[in-house]
Amino acid sequence: MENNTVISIQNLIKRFPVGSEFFTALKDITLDLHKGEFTGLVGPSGSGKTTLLNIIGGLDSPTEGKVRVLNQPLNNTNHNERARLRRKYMGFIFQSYNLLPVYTVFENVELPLILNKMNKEDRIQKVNQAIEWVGLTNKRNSKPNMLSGGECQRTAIARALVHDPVLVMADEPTANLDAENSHNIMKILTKLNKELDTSFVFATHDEKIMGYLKRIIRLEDGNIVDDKKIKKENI
Amino acid sequence: MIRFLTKGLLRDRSRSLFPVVIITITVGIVIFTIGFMKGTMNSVFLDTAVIISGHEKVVTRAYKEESQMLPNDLALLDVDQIIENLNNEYPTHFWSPRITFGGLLDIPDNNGETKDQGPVIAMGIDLLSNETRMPEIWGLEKCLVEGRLPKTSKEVLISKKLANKLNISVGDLTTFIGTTMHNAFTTYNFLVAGTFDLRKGQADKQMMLVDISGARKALDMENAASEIFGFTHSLFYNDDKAVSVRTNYNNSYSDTSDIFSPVMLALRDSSEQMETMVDMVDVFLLIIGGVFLIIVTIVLWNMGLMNGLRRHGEFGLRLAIGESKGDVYRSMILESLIIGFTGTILGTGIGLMLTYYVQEYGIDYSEVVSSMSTSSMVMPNIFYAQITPELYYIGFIPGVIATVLGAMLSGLAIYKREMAQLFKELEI
Repeated sequence: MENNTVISIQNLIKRFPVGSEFFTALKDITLDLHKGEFTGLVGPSGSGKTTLLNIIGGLDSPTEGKVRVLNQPLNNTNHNERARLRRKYMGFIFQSYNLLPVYTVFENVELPLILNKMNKEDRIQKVNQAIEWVGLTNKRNSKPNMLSGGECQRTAIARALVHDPVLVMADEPTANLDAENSHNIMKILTKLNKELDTSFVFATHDEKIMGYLKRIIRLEDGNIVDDKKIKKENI
Repeated sequence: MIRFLTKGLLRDRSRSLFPVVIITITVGIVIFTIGFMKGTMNSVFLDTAVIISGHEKVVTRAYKEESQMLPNDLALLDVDQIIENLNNEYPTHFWSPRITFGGLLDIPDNNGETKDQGPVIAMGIDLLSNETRMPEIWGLEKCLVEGRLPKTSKEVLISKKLANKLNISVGDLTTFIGTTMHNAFTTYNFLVAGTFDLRKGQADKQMMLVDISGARKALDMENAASEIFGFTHSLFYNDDKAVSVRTNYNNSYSDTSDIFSPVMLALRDSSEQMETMVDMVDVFLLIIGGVFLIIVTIVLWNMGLMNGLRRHGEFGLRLAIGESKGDVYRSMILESLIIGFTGTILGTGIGLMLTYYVQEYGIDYSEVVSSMSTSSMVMPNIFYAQITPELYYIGFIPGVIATVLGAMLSGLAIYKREMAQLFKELEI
């Protein structure tokens, strides 16, 4: 594995039990993702992109094959080690934002730092910075029910990035947003990718965001059918 | 993290206020129901004990056999010594002599001629000594309808029912006509100090209360008594202890070959009806209380379970951003413990206050029970609750244990499900 390889997957197979049978969601996937990449796992529903994203994030475990994330073999790590990996080095962005409704924007963004046991002064500084990145400074004390969909997703982005992760995974981050908000979100993520050199992996079938991706991996029926890097100047 | 979670807990009323309110109400109901059931049964026992049997009573063996005849010729002698021995050997009880006697009560007119006359059942009880608890356990202050309590051995209280029947008023002079303990004819004048209503059905229909010193003078029973009554200091009847005291006393003092030797009877020995009731009451309380406890335990268990299930999405998120399964599970249990304790403490407080209120003031069932009293068992018109030691902790079974168990059970999903599944199927 090269030094700048963030994710290395070899011969990954994932099967789910369906009644007395098994459904194979991922079939012999081999893949490397590198630091700073802005990658999309693209394909129709049921193609296996979310399953692959969950396995990379340690939320699900492979049936067969090897998965190394940030030089850690996920096959051999227990729940606590995977939790530590996510806590320290990963960020997640979800389709339905998944903000905690009783907490303010500030508190939602603060949560990963609390889990990382950062002291209060540093926390306040980091959270304010992350909220500023996504342009929500004037909404820092608002609760999610007072925010628009775009603002909720920007909060979720701030939460995913506040602890300076090496890798951010986004599952259909624009699926619940209109075109304008989708482009705004992708511009923010592109900017942060450039400034922070954070690697991003998207699971998406949203055509609106394809133009922002530096690498597109197409999945169909659990197989990679295309893996294309796009030159920066084309974006 | 605990501060962060506490903040969320306080803000989310569906996680804090509502469960606390439900636990408070449920625990309060449990406490009051059990307290009321125990108190009601103890009310029946205590009323029977006060009027008929004591928690324990000592009589001669001969008196015991003929007790329906009120045979004071078979009464206990040298009573002061017997009471001193009882006080020394059974300090868990207080002991008081009683003379129960029957006769005629004659009400003269202004000329001294009989105006009215009727049968009376009189009780000579310790109304006047400094250490007596008889006025308290009879509740005479509360039962007084007119007049005042007797201040001398020549004064009596007449039941309102008897007073109405014989047209007796407070201040009237009455003459008791009966026999002494030596079977000699006797007449003795008493002044009516007041009238009373025990509010225990027909139990006081023909009742007259007099201080024991007055009864002794009227019946020539110096240092004698029909019976010596014993009551626990708490006035709460415990059948196992009562039987133990009775057996111990009889083994020490009762001589089957001597009809005048003392014998002790527990409350359960006063009649077959009472014996059955004493036997049934523990089983009854266990069944009713147990079923009730199980039902509310299931309700609170389910609430804990639902609270946990509702939050799977939140748990999924916390796991996704790196909290360990153990930490999420522990925080969930800690939350349910805090909620459970808060609700239980509030519920126990409210339940005890309600129980205390009904213990002091009771619930009046006059019309229902007025015809249910018998000669061997007194049914109270007013049922009182009773605060017993277990009421202070029994609420923790449903309030804390069930709530926490429910939370633990729902939290098992954190371990059993794949995280992705937990997260996906129950997104916030």
